[in-house]
Amino acid sequence: MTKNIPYYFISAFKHEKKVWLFKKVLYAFLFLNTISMFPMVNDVFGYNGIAGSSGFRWYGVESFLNLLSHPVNYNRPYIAWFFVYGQLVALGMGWFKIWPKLSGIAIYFFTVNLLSKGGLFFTGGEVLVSILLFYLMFIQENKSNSVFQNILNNTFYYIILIQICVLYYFSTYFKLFDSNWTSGMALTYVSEIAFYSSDWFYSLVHQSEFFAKLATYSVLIYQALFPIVVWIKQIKIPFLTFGIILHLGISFGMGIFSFGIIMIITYILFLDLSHIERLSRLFKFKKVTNHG
Amino acid sequence: MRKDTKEIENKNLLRFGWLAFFFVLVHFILILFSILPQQNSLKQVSNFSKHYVRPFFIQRWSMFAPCPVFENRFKVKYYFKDDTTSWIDPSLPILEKHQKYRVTYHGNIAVGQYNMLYWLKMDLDTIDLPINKPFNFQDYPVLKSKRGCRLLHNYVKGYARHNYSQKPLKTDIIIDYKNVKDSTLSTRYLLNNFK
Repeated sequence: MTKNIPYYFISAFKHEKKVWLFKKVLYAFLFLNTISMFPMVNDVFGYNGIAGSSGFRWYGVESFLNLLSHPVNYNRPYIAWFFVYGQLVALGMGWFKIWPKLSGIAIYFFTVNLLSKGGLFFTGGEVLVSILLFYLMFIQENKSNSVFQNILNNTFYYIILIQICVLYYFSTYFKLFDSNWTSGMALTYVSEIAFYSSDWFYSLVHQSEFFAKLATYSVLIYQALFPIVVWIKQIKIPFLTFGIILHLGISFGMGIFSFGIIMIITYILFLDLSHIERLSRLFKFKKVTNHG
Repeated sequence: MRKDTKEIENKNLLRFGWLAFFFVLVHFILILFSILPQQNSLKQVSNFSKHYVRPFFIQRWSMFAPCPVFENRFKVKYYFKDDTTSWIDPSLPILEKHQKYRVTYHGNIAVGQYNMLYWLKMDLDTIDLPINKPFNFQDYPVLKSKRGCRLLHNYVKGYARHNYSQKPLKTDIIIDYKNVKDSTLSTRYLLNNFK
């Protein structure tokens, strides 16, 4: 068993179709999400907007991910627009596989700068996107013939999968210290906060205390089991289907749209090849390779 | 001779495989230490891990933990050079649209407003401030450097610029933290002369 460990990393990368589909869907989502932010670009990404500046200091690489907070942006909203259009162009290039290495770096650079500038207005979903885009820069799914690239592909593919499990693990871990979650009342309280609620979410959890508790514990149990169940082939599809319903509830019921959708997109990486092929046919994506 | 070369290549490849495995292992051990509360982890490792995760892997994942129990709302009244506004609730139009359209930017603005008031509460709770009574913000200079107050300052200034195209001389602000679990824990702050 232990002897097999290095082979997971040096064997031919088998997940190119999956990673390719994941990138396409993620890039498309980010593209549409940024377009939806157009009316608020000056306010959220501009130096003089309601987000203001979080402050800037030269601090190694980190400074290059926080450029929109630099005082040079004062009264120059076109710099924020440059980053927005830069991100859109990079996403387009990534989608069409034009200079994939360069576009991967550009997507990361523009996206992270925008997200760190408007950090207050974003959720854990965007934090995950920042991290995943960093990992994705190292995966060149069509270049597995190079030994080094092949090891990188495998390594960062596993890192992404583990990263998502880490998210679910800690999401449960921290909730277990809160009596509102352990008592099963958390969703009842959340539904009473207009910012995180809607009429149907409110009426759903206020039907009965039993139902409210059932919903709260379902969230806890799902998140706690995710890092284990997602590896069990026989039950992962119904399990992930429940997850999709849960995250759609977060997107539309609680109104945390991007977080819910981003989490659903990450589920692509946990699917088997047969599911990926079915999904690809459904969306009529062209095949990249004949194997994988 | 050819076989030997192949064997060496395979051995090297295996070494790379092990290297990749240990990289993944160490990477996540450091991430775990950076997320875990300090008292639960070794301090030195925790400090090192915090350096490692910056800036590419910073994460916490304590979303909705603790569960939010406050409905955070605020109203502002601007004093411009030649004019004074009535009380404005910036959340009202945003929440109205946010309830109708889930996929638009209104959700981000709603999250931003809520987060800002959350961080502000963290600051206000650390100081003995008058509750339900107006107070002069300038009497509490310690607040000015706090994160929540800076966020509120940015927001109030940006909102005035966006809607009135001018900088306010000062702003009065009412902040309501309505506790949805226990209404006796609800608080109202009345900040005068905020600038």
